[in-house]
Amino acid sequence: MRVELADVGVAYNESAVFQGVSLRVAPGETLAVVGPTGSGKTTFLKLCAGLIPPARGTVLLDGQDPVAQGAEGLSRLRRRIRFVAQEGALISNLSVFENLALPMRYHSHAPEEVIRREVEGLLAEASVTHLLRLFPAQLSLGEKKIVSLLRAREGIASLLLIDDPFLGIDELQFETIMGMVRRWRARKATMVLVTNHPWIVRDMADRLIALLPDGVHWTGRAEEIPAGVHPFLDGIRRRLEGTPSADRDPAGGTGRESG
Amino acid sequence: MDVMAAVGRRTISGGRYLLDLYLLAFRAVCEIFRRGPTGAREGRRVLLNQILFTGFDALPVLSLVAILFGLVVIIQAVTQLPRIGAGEMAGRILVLVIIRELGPLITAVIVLGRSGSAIAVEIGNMRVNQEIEALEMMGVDLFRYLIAPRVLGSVAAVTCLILYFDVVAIMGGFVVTKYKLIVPFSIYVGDILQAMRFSDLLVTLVKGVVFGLTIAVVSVYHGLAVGNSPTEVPQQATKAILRALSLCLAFNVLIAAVMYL
Repeated sequence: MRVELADVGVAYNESAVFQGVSLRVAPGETLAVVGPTGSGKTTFLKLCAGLIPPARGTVLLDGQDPVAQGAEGLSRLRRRIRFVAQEGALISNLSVFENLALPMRYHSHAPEEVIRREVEGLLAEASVTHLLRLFPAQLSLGEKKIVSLLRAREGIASLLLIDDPFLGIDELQFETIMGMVRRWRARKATMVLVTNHPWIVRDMADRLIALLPDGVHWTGRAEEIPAGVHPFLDGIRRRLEGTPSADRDPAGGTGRESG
Repeated sequence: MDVMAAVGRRTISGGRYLLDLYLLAFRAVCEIFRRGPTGAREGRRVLLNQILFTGFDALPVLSLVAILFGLVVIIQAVTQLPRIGAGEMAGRILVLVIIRELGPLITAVIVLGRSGSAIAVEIGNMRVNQEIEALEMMGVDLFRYLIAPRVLGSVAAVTCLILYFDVVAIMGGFVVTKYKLIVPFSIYVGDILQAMRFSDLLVTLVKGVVFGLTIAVVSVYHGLAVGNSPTEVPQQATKAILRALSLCLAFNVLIAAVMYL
């Protein structure tokens, strides 16, 4: 799925979160969204998902404006998009099984037995079958993220919008989530990924957009980050220069970086 | 002039609120009757859970309240009416007080306190935890999955609970008449059936639908009105209870005026 932002701006309480953002994410491309806390990274993801309208400019997904769609058109569009919130956003009164079964039960007429096999298969792939009957309140943050990402794996997604999947997880969970992200990249899904992990920015993302305070932003490749634009960008540059490749240090920065 | 302006603003704000509620109710009712290609299975599951929680789980507390009200009403009736030579009107009093008025209203209050607040809190928490957005991003229609089943479940449960309340209250009243007046059960029930009209049954059903619809729609509205802060959840739940109660009382007067004046 192609994502296009044209002169997009968002403001909260008359204060610009970001403004004048124009970029295109080509099908199959991975865009990393970086920035200090409160810079609007989650807002940017929600804009791309069509969950919030921009105050200025337009957002197009495969040439369609999600805000201008009717209910049926929006539902069709969203069936190709997966949005994974920072804390998972699992439905609280449903068990892990029911959370994973919900999209299949809602959108298809598949028998319960088929749905059960599909859900158990997903949990087995991530080695978390023990979570089947638990409820979200009983899960750790990392487990919620994994279940939420498994929910996003159902069906065929053209666009994945993932909010800081590597925040607050342990080493094993990091490997599980990395495996899922690598599989999506291999399938050429378009991904917009919020993360401040330097080697993920460098090795997994094709480009990055840095959302900085006072509505300022910068877009480009990790190796092209200019010096002196903003201390946050300078920090990213330094960390990128001093960070080994993902294959040599897969556990670098798990949970120690803040989103 | 400031007072006039404030009254004007309140009136406009109140009008907008009622219009929003009407539109929400209209869309929820349309969704109940719409046959869509998806979501029916999950909608039925939510509907069943809502009927169980609102209806079945409320039976113990409703039974107790109904028996106690039935006892109180008939105690007053059998002790006061004979003094004015109207002792034979006990059955008529039960129909007027319990079946026409107290039964529907008290049932609505109990359902509002239990289920109305629960709906507002549940949906409010879903807002805060971004679960509503997660459902939207899954392509799940909120009206089909979240709202219409709760509205239909509430209407069905409240209507059945009102009928249940009436029956239990009348049975509670019988306990007093049996020991105080030594009235046989058949005569007791006969008096009540003779005093009842078809309009009384119709009023019960109409109030069940109207109160059930009001409770669900107002609770859903205020649950969805929660923003990002958890502190808004109890605030909106309180508003839901007070406003739904006010609307139920207003509808109660309207129905009585239409049916009996």
